[in-house]
Amino acid sequence: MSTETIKATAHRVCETTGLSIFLRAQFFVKINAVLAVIFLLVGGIAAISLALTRWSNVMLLSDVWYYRMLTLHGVNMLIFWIIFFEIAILYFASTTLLNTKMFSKNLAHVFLALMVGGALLTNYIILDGRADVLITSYPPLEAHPIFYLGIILFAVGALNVCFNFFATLYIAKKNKTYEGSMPLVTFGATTAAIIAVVALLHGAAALVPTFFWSMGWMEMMDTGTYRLLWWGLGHHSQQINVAAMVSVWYFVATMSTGAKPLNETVCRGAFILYILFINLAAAHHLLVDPGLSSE
Amino acid sequence: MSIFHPKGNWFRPPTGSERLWVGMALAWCLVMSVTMPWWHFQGKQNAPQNTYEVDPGVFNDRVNEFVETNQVGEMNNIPIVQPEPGGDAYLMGRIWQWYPILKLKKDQTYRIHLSSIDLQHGFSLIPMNMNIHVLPGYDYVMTITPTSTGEFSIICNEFCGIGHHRMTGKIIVEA
Repeated sequence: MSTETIKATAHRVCETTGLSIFLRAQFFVKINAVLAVIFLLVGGIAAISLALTRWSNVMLLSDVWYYRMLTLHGVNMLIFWIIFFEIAILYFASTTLLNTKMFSKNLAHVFLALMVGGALLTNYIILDGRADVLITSYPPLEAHPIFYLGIILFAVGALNVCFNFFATLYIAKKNKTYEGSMPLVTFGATTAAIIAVVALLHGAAALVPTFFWSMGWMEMMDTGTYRLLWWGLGHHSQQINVAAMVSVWYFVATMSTGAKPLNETVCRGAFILYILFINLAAAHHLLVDPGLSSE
Repeated sequence: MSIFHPKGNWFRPPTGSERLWVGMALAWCLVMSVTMPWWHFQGKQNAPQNTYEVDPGVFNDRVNEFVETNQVGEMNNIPIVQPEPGGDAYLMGRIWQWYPILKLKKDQTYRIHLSSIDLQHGFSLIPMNMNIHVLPGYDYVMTITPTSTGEFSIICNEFCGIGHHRMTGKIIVEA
């Protein structure tokens, strides 16, 4: 074996669970999980300041800062926290559970830098008071271009982590590191990754033209179209969360009690139905927003 | 176990009570999926509406013309306007007010044109719980018939900048 192969497949055996932890993947599992809870903390502090403002005896924030913290809260909770944690799950479920090395460490570093850089840029510009537009940022309400740019960089990084995940699934299959079907938890993580791709592509479709508009490079996108595309990000990022969370439930149930799924067919079938049909739940915007029925 | 690959051929259709629960869940999914579009058309929850594209400047002119022709009073510097029963009425969202105040007659039908001349706003009629997005560039025309009298408040329920929470309006319905 070459040195590179040895490094790539270097792993330790976890004393508690007996699972193989690949050392390169371990770093990305840890860093993404830690970043996730840091952004959860940011969003949580914002939430407390909002609650203390709505509590009329305290009225902590001025109206300007109320909307500023509301923007910070939404972006950190709905996008940064959820997606960073999902990335940690993807790295874990694709390497340890399939007993394989990750597809690319170098790319993983690049994508991590994109995500962290994007999240920091967006949070900076919000706190600097140049993006009081709430998470939805419906045009023609306009934020500083860095607000959109930060979310776009984050989304591009996260999207590519999903491809790193799919590539890891591929090399595990090719190298036959496991037999038969992949474990249920990895199957659920794959569900989350597929939904993440849909979410992040919608986010890019809504925010890239909006970023160009804020730079003065192109006309504003149609307001109704923007809403529809944006909610392709807004709803789906919650659905990523649901799929990833259910996978973690299965994981925790097995780790804590040794429980096994009652019926693999039902468990996996439910994930597939979720991917195929959850969009109907998001379709209410099509039905009630003005725009699609216009003459 | 959920963290290891399942052994052999794991495909097993649900049986017994599991089959019953899965069947009930699927049946309920189908019911809800059909109900959503059905309710949209049959639920009488949405006002009959047509949407047209309109230039915000043009819409502004139409509102001003409507106010000049039909003004009957004024409240807090905002004109009170009484449209012809059966005719067109205009309501404009702008930062940060609803303009003008409409005075309608009970049991008469009106075509209310709703639009914004600047940002996105949200028309929310209190206490009726009637909520409509208001987009600049779109003339949203509702055909409505008030069935009760009184003063109804409009608030904005879509964030539109720092004065958002002060953006209120009024519709008066008389017998």
